[in-house]
Amino acid sequence: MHMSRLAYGFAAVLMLAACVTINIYFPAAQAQEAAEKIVEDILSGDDTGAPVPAAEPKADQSSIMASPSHLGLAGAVLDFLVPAAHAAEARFSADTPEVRKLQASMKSRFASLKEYFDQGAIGFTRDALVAVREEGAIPLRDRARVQKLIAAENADRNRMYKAIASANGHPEWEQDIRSTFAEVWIKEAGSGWWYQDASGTWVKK
Amino acid sequence: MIGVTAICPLASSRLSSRRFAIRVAASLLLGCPPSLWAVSDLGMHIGRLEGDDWRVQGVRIGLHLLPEAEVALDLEAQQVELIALGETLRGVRFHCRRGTLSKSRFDCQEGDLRAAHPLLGASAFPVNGSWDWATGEFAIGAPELPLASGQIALQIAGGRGTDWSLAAQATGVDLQALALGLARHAAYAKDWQAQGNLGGSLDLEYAAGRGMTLRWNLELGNAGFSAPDGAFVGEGLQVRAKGRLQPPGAAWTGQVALDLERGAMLTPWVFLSAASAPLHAESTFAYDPGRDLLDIDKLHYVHHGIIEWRASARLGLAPGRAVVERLQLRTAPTDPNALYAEYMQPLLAETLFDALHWSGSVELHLEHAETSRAELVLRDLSVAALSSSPAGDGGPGRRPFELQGAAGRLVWTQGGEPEISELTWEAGKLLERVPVGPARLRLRLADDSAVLLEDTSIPLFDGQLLVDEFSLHGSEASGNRLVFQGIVTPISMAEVSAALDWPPLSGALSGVIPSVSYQQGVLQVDGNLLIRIFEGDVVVRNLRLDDLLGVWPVMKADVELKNLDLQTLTGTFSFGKITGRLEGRVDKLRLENWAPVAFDARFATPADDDSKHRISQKAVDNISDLGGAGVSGALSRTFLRSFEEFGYRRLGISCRLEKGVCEMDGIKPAAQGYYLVEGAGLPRIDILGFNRHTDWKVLVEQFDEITRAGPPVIE
Repeated sequence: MHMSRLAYGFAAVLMLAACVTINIYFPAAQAQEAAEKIVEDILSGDDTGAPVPAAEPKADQSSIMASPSHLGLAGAVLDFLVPAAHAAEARFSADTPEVRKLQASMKSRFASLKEYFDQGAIGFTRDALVAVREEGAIPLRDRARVQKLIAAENADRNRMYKAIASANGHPEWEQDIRSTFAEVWIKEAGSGWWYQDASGTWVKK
Repeated sequence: MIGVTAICPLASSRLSSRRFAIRVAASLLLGCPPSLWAVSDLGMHIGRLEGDDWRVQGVRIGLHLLPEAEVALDLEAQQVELIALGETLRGVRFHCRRGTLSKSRFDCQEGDLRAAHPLLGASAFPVNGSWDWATGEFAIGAPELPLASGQIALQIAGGRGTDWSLAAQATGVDLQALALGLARHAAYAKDWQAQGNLGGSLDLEYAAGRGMTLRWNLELGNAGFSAPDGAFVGEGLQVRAKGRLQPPGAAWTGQVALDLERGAMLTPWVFLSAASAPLHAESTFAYDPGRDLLDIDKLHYVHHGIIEWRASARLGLAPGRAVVERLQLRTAPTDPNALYAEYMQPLLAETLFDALHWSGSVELHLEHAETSRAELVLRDLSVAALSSSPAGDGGPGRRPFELQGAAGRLVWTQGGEPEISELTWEAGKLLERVPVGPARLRLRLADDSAVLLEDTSIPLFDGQLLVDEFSLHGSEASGNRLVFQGIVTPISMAEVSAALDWPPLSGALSGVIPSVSYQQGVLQVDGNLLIRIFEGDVVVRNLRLDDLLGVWPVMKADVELKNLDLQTLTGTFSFGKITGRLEGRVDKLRLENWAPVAFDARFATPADDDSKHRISQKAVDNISDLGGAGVSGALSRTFLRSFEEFGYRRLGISCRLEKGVCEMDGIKPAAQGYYLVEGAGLPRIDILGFNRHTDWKVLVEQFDEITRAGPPVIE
């Protein structure tokens, strides 16, 4: 009895405190999963499909099967059967028209940038962007073009991190999303590509 | 040894720097009493000498008489400041080991000079010279003057009167060392990098009456430069520059020629490369400093095999008001592909035009004075965009556009009398599969507008696009404004559906395009787009196309379908025959990269439809097939297989697509699920749907499979 009263009082204090501070944690694991899907799609270079949405609702492939008993005497009843889908609300979503557009644009651009990643002329920065690592490795005639491509790529990337944060209703997550992407870009980078480590030093993967 | 600390009378007066050396020597040798000639050594100190733009401090002069009428001379200065040049030489020492002195002439056959300066190094170099103070003739030679790791053979000579000349022959001057030595004169270029070897000759001549002439013939080898931000870069350059400049008179006139034999140069405006062919440019010019006018005449630019043009121009160079007052430029017939690849492509990225392939010939004539005129002559021109939009479902990306056999004369004028432009082409393609037939356009291009002058027909598939009105007006304030009005005459849907990778459709498409506006990449159809198809009408409202030829086209529209004939609609499907009429609407349709991502669609038999309502067994079977394995041919396994057709009262379906899920419904609720087809007559067949939420992608795949499959086998 004594104990329960004490617990009650403690809970009341806790509630009072909780009224003041509400912490919403950044869903790191889900964000990473979404980032991986986007980055894999952009770097896949496959030219066979539209961008893979990052947080696609999972379709339930099971069907409600028709049984012959539906075919009654007065007439036949046929099921109109297609797989049912349960549009479960994803808690972290990176699938918005703006993100899809940016993803498509980055995917298309990657075809032009890939050779410079391969040659080590450009690499992934620690703030989840692209930068020139070794200017001399880019032939002079391609240099202006590569600089423009990188400028456009970084504009798209910055917009994407912002858009994903906004899509989840937490614009303040932008920095977390950027950090998540920074890790994922490096993780998904091809071997021999260059990236900046936490101190900003270029490292070859 | 005599120390003269007083300043010599002549030297203390304000002297012109050019005459300085001469007069100091004169005062030393002539201004001192003859009795001193008896001594073997003569010395003098001068604390400070000063002219308009120079200053010398700590001068020591020593003269030693040698046997056989030879003399040795020592001239030293602690510091020589050349104020006009902003340079200071320290520890300057001229030592003439062997000279001869006569009544009016001094010759130094063997001398050397040492001066501490970053460009000159620290070691002494030989200098010889002579001076005849009776005639004023002099000569100074420095055959091995070290300069920036290289050498210059320098010869300065003055004749009688005021004539003089300077000739310099340089070899192996290091551009990096030179730039380093001169860095503080060009603060803006402080962070620039430069390297390479400079050699060649520079001649300066002054003759009374003819004035000064400067000639140069320089060669820059293995050179490179770069600006700190990488905007200006040169690599592996081999450049030869020749020229002549005559400054006196009202204008500076001259001639320049520049050859880029190897290497490449990148600037924000142009990329020049001699990789495929050397480049040559030459011109004569006249610069009037009083009026700040530069006249360029006979400018001839040749990039062998790529482009050749001639121009003349008058440029106003007043600071802050630089202006092209007059320009005339004519290119020779040019291969657009080489021109594009060499000059344009290196500066293009991320546009529709960054990967084009051209053939044919173009020619440009530009004229600019009070009015402007640009004429572009095209002959047998073909152009294709090689970059492709990203792949849509079921195929690789497509080339945005292609035009073949274009010819004509496009004339743009500003301020002058507008002229008629004409453009024809033989064939074209949009998005790789929309064929465009031959057309002839008459246009007026003037100021900021382009206007189509007469009704034009452009074949599109097997029909035509009749353009009633087309104009484009540019304005800095409100962007570009496009006005378009036209009619599409019947195009068979079979071709359209094949081109767009749709299931094969029958019927024809025709329509009225009321008015189209285009601004900042967004194409908007104002008014209702009317399409005649499947014997009914389709009205498209609020059509917007965003980024039409870009990587991610987005289309938005509201569509209404009226009175479509189901038999025509299902005719070419292997889906099965359905007769009757259909109406419906697709609201808030959104296609991304031509794939639907959202809409709110409802289709149903019109309430007042009195046409015959029949549905074939095949269609019923196929609808059931959409459910996948398990119920295939369900109908044909029952007694109902003996009926080929069934009657129906009403049919319909609705689907609200969002986030990949289609929320479905039929025409009315059933005990379980909803009715998709409500039967009529005997035998009566109802088709019910149960799922409210279906995966759109799977639905499309299954529908696609059915419509593409051959006719199903009925046992």
